[in-house]
Amino acid sequence: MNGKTAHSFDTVFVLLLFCLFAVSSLFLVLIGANVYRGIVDKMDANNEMRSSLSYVSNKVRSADGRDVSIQSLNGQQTLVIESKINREKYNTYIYLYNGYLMELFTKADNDFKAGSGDKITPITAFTITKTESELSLEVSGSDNRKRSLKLSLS
Amino acid sequence: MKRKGSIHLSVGASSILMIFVVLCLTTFGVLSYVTANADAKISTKNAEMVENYYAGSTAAEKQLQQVDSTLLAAKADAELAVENGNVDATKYDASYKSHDQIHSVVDIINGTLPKEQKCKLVYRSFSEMLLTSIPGFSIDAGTDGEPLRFTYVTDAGSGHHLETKFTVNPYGDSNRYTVTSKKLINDQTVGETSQGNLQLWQGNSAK
Amino acid sequence: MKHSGVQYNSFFIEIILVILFFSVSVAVTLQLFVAANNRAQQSSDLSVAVIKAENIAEQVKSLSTADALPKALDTAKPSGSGDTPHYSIGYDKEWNETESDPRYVVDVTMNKAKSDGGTMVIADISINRLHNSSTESLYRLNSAKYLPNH
Repeated sequence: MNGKTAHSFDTVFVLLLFCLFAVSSLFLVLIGANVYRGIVDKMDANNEMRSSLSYVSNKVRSADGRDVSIQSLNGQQTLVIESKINREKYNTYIYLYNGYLMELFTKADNDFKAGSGDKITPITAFTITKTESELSLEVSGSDNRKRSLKLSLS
Repeated sequence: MKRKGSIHLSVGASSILMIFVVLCLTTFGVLSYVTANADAKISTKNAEMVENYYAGSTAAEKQLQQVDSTLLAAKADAELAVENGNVDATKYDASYKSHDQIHSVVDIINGTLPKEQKCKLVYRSFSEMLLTSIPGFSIDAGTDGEPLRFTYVTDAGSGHHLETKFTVNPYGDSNRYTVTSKKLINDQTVGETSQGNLQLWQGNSAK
Repeated sequence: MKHSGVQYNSFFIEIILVILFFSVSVAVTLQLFVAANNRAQQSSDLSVAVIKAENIAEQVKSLSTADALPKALDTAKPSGSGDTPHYSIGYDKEWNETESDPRYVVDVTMNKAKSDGGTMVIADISINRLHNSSTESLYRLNSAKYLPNH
């Protein structure tokens, strides 16, 4: 009788230990996954902010200051950059649509269709304001932190 | 067998579990390290590009400073030349005399126009002669009456150049020059070949 | 009983060895995670530093007079004297402006060099991270503006 209870107690104890081990290793894997997700999310948000700002600033710097303007199209602020290729007028529209920063390059005569642009990077907010010689951009990535860049137009 | 009903935990179950957990954690660790590394590289590249752009912009401003001092010298020289009636006592007379235009300048100086007009025309010629002799400056063809238009480029790193265009304002204006355009240009431009195809890549990569 | 003793003994020995090995490998993997986190933090710091420096540099490019100050430096602490004034702005770890205990510092030195035609203003912008009383340089930028005399 004694042996039997000792035997079953040992079994339960071993099982308990093993379950504890299994549960704690599960927790560790979950923690590891969460840490990984945290790192990657932070990097993604940083990447979105950096790419969008540097892309738009490069576009603005490559254009003449007088060709850059802001128009309100489809109810939102759109950056419009005019250019002339082979004596034809083209417009580059940069705007936020469906959670993405989009760019549409088309002839100046064509209508602006928000859906036909190219996706650049996913962002959550895009605000532009223009004063006489300064263009102010404000974007925020997936972490919803706003970063702003002011460019001087020449 | 005595242990028929007993629960039998085989050796190795915990090892398997441990291997699984270690594998998972190592995978996460390696993945996050590799992604973080790639991100840091992109960040550094972006930072370098911005740094190069502003280095190019600073170089462009230094060129403008040179332009301004050249224009000041041209103005002083023009006044001196009109005053003296010849080009000999001017600061850059050697440079002026090396250009063919010097003959038309001498004609103007010896002509009968009012002093103000003479200064204006001589200043225009002198500034053209001096500015075109600065390496990297190119003049845009224009008619005689219009202000002179110049273009120069400065290196903005990684296959980009900053192109500045300015005009030389007429003699007597408070602003000696006006910058008309400053933009970033790519070294490689996409151009059409004779068959009407677009040549997209000429085989150079950005340094 | 001897059999079962051996049975359970081997389990315990095995689990002890497993935990030992596991702790060693977790220590290594943890270092990997920490290194990855550090890299991500570094990359994020550099990106924001570049944006802040760019803001100031762009404002220098649009200065209208030699004594004007870029708008971003309105809230900065001035030091230095005369021809090379020096400005500092402190930021906390979320990159919000703060006066006390800054984690990041933006230092701007405005050099003004007069020539016969005008003044050349060169701004030396440097962004540093303060780390337990040691300063680490994150990013440096130079931006210039030539302002001719009229």
